[in-house]
Amino acid sequence: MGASRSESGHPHHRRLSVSLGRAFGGALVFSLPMLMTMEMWELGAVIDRWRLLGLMALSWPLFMFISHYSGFEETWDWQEDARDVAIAFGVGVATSALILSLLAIIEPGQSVSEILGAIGLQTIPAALGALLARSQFSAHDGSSDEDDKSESYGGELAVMTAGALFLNLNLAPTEEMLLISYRMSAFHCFLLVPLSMLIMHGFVYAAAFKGGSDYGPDTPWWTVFLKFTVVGYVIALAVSFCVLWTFGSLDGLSFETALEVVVVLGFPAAVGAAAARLIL
Amino acid sequence: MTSEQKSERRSEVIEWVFAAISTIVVLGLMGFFLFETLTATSGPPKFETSILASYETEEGLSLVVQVGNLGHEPAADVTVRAVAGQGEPSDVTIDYIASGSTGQATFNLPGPITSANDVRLRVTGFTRP
Repeated sequence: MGASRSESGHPHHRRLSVSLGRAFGGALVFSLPMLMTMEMWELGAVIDRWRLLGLMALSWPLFMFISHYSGFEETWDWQEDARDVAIAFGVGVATSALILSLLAIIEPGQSVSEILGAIGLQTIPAALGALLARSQFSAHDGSSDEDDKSESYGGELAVMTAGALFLNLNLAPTEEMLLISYRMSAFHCFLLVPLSMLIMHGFVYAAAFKGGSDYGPDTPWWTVFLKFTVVGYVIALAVSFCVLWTFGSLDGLSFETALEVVVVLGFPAAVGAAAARLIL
Repeated sequence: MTSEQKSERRSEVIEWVFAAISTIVVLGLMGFFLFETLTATSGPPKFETSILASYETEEGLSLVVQVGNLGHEPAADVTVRAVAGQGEPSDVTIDYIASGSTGQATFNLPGPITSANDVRLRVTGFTRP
């Protein structure tokens, strides 16, 4: 009997440990590419501390919003969302510290500021992964409440923001973003804007007709285009600007060049934002 | 009109407000790039150097230099040379400076240097990105 109890355990504890396991798994999947990228280690040391703090502070309400729609626990009020985001950040800090130590990227000889900077920066993608783990690793039960939540307009925009942020954090630290924008002319950027939206619209159009959606084949294409694709693209550009500014990539650049870098990073961000609607 | 219909109507209005603002932003962005394309002039990078700050160190003088690209093309591996009096030249390379943008370099110049104004600055070379 005792053996039987220990095997099954308390259902609540078991559910919590499964959720935490998923959170750690999600944190790993989302943050490993960044944990093993040299530019991110360097950024951890040189990034302006106020900007890093700002990014982390801004992530909190965004993650609250995402938690409400795609968290690793089914949540029903903002207090539960705040708890989930706190757990996600905790999982993010633990995952980042563990992997960075294991890979000998942070070592005892380094300054506390450098170590905390590296962990803090990596915590954001790890926490995002932890939050999204439930929708990534668990099969949807198809409950109507969850469907309603994820299909609200705010929910769609939150999911797109998460997708844009994920790809942004992967690509923004790389030197290639600046290099590509320097090679491109204003005319290249002029063409990249509609192309980004066209690719995005392919994803958005496909995702718009999921079962239960307010938008069906009878909905005019331009309604979906204006309400989701264009809005999603501007969100992708806004996230790109925020991440680039936080990383100091826009410092010293002219207005035109800064705008070009934002549009270049906005391209993968737009794809990430649109794809997130299909995946999450 | 029931409260549910009112709520739906309000959501619909919010969605269209978001769509309108975003459309204006995207059209503005495309208009800006089109304007830049039509008015663009070509020309090689041209550099302007200025001293942002200087401070004495145990070995000599530290000099923070700003290099601006006044040309219409970006430059990569911009090498800046600083020479103080008859001293040895010091070189610092800046990865990229886009057109209309600036980059910074810091020189640690050895020896007794009375003033930062005695230091001669020159861009010795660059490559195309």
